[in-house]
Amino acid sequence: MIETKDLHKDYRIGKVLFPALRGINIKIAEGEFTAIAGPSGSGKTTLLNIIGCLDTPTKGDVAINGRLISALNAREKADLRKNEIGFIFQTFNLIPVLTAFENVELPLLLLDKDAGRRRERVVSILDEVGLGDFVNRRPNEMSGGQQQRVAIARALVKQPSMVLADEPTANLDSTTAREILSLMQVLNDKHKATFIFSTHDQLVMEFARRVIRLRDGKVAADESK
Amino acid sequence: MKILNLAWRNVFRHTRRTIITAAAISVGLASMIMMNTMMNGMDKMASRNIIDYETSHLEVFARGYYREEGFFPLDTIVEDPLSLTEEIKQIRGVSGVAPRVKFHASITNGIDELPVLGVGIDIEEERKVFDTPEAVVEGRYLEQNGDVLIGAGLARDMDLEVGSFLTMITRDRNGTYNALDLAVAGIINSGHPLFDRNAAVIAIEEAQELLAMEGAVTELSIRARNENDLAPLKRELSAVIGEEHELYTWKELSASVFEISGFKRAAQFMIALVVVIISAVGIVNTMLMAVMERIPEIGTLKAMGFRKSGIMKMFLYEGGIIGIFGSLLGCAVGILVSLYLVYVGFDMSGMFEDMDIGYPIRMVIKGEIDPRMVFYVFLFGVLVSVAVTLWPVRKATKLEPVDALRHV
Amino acid sequence: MQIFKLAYRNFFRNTRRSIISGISVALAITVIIFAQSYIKGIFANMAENVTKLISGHIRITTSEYERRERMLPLSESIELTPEFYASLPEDNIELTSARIKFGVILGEEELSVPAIGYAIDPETERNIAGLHQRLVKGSYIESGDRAAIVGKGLAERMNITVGDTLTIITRTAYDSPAGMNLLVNGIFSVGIGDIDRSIFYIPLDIGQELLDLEGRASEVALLISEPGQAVEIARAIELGPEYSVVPFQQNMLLQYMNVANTIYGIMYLIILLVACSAIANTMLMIVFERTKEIGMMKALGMGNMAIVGLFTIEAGIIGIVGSAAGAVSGSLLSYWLKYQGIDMSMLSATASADIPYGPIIYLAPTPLIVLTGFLLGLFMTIVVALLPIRRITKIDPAKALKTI
Repeated sequence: MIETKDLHKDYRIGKVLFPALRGINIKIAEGEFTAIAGPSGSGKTTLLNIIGCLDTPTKGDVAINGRLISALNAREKADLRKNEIGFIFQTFNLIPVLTAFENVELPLLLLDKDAGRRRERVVSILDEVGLGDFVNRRPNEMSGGQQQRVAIARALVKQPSMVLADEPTANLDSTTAREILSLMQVLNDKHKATFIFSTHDQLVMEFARRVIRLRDGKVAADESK
Repeated sequence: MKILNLAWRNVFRHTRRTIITAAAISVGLASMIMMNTMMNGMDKMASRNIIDYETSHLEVFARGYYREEGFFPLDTIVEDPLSLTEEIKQIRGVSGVAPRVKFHASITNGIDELPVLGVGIDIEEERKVFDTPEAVVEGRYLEQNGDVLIGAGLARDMDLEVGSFLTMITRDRNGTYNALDLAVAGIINSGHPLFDRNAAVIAIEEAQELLAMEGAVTELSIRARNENDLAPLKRELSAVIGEEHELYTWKELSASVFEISGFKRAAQFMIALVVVIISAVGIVNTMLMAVMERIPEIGTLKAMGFRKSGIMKMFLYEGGIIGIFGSLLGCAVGILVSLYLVYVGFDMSGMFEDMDIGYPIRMVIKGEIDPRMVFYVFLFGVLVSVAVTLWPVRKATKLEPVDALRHV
Repeated sequence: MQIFKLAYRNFFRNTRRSIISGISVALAITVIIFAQSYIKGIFANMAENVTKLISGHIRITTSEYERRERMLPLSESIELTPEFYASLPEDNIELTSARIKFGVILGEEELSVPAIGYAIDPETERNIAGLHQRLVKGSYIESGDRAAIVGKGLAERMNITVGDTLTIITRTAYDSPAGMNLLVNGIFSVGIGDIDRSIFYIPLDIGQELLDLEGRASEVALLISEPGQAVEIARAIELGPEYSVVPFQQNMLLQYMNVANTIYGIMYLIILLVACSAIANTMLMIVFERTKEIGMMKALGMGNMAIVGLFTIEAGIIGIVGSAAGAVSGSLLSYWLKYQGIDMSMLSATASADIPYGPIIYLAPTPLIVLTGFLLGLFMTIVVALLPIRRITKIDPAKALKTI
């Protein structure tokens, strides 16, 4: 359960103040498959970053499973990210010197000391995303779609309670994007993790069960299917 | 372990950069080792010369005799050397005792006169304590009264050769002038400048007569069985020699020599340190580049929940790995050059000719590798590399994850 | 011009990196300027000690004396005739000082200490050796006094002080024994171990009397107005083959300093190379980073040389900034120590008269040293930077534009 309370965020660029979020109040229940939509500059990424404890609000607060993030220090935030949150980025952000297997294993290193158990988990999740044969490839030896599958596996491997995806399909062609989205939907059903996307892609909204539209830092619409 | 693995691979993202950085560190470290080898060699040579020709391991004087190096008073002497020698010989750690009489004298070949260091030696006992007999390069060792051994430099300066006659002039302990006619029996080339340039060695009986010493000597030189640990022997000897005598180790007697060497070491170390510091700036630069180009990666790791310490560790490992490479290379090059110095040596004769450089060594210096020093230099290289990495890495870990991710 | 502007802006694209690369060059140049000033300083210091205390700017002896100098053969002395003085060129020479150097054994009864005596003209030597300024006790000597000033270390050895009598026993030029009692007028210290420990000075006329050398001297030291011309002036003095005329630059010391200079030169080069490795790395990175940009420039029709020029200028800016910073800090340090001096008395207390350095070394930086340091830094930077920059010519624009 994620709840935002009157969330504000201002960015200062030079002397000018840009309000990115201007009072966001939303609730997202466990297991939801939600898209946050809106044109660029509407505050989607900022909202995701704040929910993911990567950024701090100027005003307001977020409650994640009842815990207010304003009460957490840097270390507790890191722990929260480590245990509860998986991230997927527009530019995939895989570590180039690591293989697909090692990239997926990375977040598990912080959670599970047992190498055998880790291996099992990594192999099974890579199978799930359809990359069973690519475990030893480096990022630069894979297509964009394959890299994003690795990123999804990396986000899900630790079985987080929520997955935050910032424009996950923006760097992919539409066929690949469709594949990725249906994969995420399947995984959402299976793992029961909350999925939140930011997107301005119509395609994503077709897949989402709930679409929250932002405009100029405010919620313009909130529709569920 | 995994972080180390990651760091290892990151180091080889830019092989050329790593090589250049590591090579830069290695230059400073190699020169540290090389200079150390050189100085060790010089010290060892100086020590050997002092022990084998000048003082042996320990020397007993009459109390108050030893005031400074190169000063040989005849007013404070060992009056009864024979019984003292017997007592000292009883001690197990002593392998030999040789009496000597050292005095200022002049020698003249009839035309020129030159001040020399006169040394009266016991022809037989000398063999057990000093290498003087082995240093005779022309002619023979002392055999009888009337024989004199002179240093090669002295022989050259005064146009003397084996068989030449000379007169030794000195004042005895009462201040009366005495002269002694001698024939050159042999020429010494020991490598110790004091001997090779200045010494005239005669039989101790003749020296005693020349100086009116009546059986007294200026010193008893003692050779130890174990030269590495003289402290216990010194304690034992102190108990034997009595109040009227004093006892010094060769190191105490040549303190100024090693003081000079200490200064030289410090100066050379400073030079090498400067090179290491400059190369350390190179590491800072390299690590800073590594951090800057990987800021989005740092953001990703933070988003996964990696803490500052984990990320810091990764970069420190990277600095350490570059440091280890540089240090290995530096030590390897340092050892190679040192081996050359050990086996071939460094010829300084062209540099100094006849000059007194204030250091008792031969002109071809052979190095001496100190493995401990090589190890310390290695450690130093790695530590410096890791230490200077801290600064750029702190920059990286301080970034907010969101800023790090946004940075392209 | 446009290319300079672009290079200048590129320098600030990653200011920190540029500055750090510059710092290593700056450090190296600082060290080099310092080291050169130090060497020049110690050389000047030794030259001063040599000219003041040992040989003057030019030393004249008989050739035979020089050959057997170690024996101090008084029989090979110079007769100080008017003809001798007339053969010295009048201009250039400021002072002419006749000296007798003789070996003695000092002391009485059981204490005998070999020492070197100098018989000097006390008035003339005020302006050469300047010993009246180096007295730590007592007063200077006057012509006609049966008196001496004694080195501090020697006085300590002999256990004598001002007012005591110094008995010297030696041999005359005709090899007959001679002795004299002298009053110790003063104790001097020049801070050079060997000299303080073994030398005493007496008036020239007394020395001539003692050693049977009326109207003669063992050596004549000349002080000239232009020390730099000592070699030429020495060559111009025509005294015939029985005399040896040696300018101080031919002192053995100088030969040694030349060897030392070569070794230091190699050292400078190593330090610079290490420093420049940072620049090489930076340029390597810059070329990598801007592969795409380079591809674009090529696509826009910029020639290889122009692009290489652009990057070289950027490296040059780093070199200029680093070398300038190094020149500034190097000269600050060196000029400060030029006035402050480095106290070496601890070391020089053990110095031999063959290498008479100390007691205080004043660094001798010159604008030339600073300028060479700066240019050397700049030059090496550009040379080293060219290695990675060369790769630019191999970049294929089509491929470069595709890389991310």
